[in-house]
Amino acid sequence: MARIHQVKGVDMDNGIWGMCVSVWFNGCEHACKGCWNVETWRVDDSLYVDNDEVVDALISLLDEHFPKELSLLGGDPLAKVNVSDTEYILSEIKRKRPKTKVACWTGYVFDELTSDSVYDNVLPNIDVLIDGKFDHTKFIKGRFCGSSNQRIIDVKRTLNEGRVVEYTTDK
Amino acid sequence: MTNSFHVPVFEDISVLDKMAFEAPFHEIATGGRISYNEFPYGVSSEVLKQAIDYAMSLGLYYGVNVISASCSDCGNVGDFDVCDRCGSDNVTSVSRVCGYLSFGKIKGSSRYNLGKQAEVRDRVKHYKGE
Repeated sequence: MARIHQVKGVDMDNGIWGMCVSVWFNGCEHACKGCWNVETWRVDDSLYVDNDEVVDALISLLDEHFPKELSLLGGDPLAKVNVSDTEYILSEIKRKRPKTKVACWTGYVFDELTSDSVYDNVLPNIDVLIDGKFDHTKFIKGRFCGSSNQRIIDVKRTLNEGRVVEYTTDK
Repeated sequence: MTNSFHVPVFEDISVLDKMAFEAPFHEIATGGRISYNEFPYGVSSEVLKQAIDYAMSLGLYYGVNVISASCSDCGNVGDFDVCDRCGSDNVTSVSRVCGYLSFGKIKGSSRYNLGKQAEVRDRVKHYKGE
């Protein structure tokens, strides 16, 4: 059972690879000053949706009109209260639709994730991870980052090479 | 109701759903027809390319609208009627209404007639997801 704030079938703003389907998780413990989504912080059990329902909805939305990629936002999809649901949803998406590319935004720093075994099965199913809290003193008008401490990480290469490799976009 | 097959400008609908809804009418309105989408300021070129590719796959005659405003006092650019950085009304914005790119506002005053101003006011970006 995942707490899902919103699912957008056509999201023009939050895709690394053009339009995407975006899933907004509920629950976040980072409480960054200046957060753009304060209403998603408090864990709200009324937002519970069955994980398989989420998977089925995403699978059909990803191919509605034309194939799109998937973005996970929030809230924090990798918050302790969400990580097992995120792991299940991503593994089912990758099993049923292996070509799906996944981008995920988290307030944790990459090293925190790799040093905690709870993330071992979720990281390999994420292609691009934007990491770190939003720091309003380091505000930038980035397309995918809100502050300069955040990184756009190529997760596959990072896990293979054992050092953080930033994902290169055209912009 | 509108005076065409266009989804009304105030309708909260996604870019792709709007195209798919209007596509069948392109077969019928043989005297001339076009479909438009309203995009937010700063929309990425990948998103525009996907939208145009999809329009071509549906066989549409298709245009993209991206409103663009600039502040003549502080140089700020974006989508606003009053500058969202310095608060100035001395703003120039360009958008397309009835097929023509024109000044919704130039140095604070509009070049649109009242009907066109009303349409621009009513417009929403084709943002809706699910």
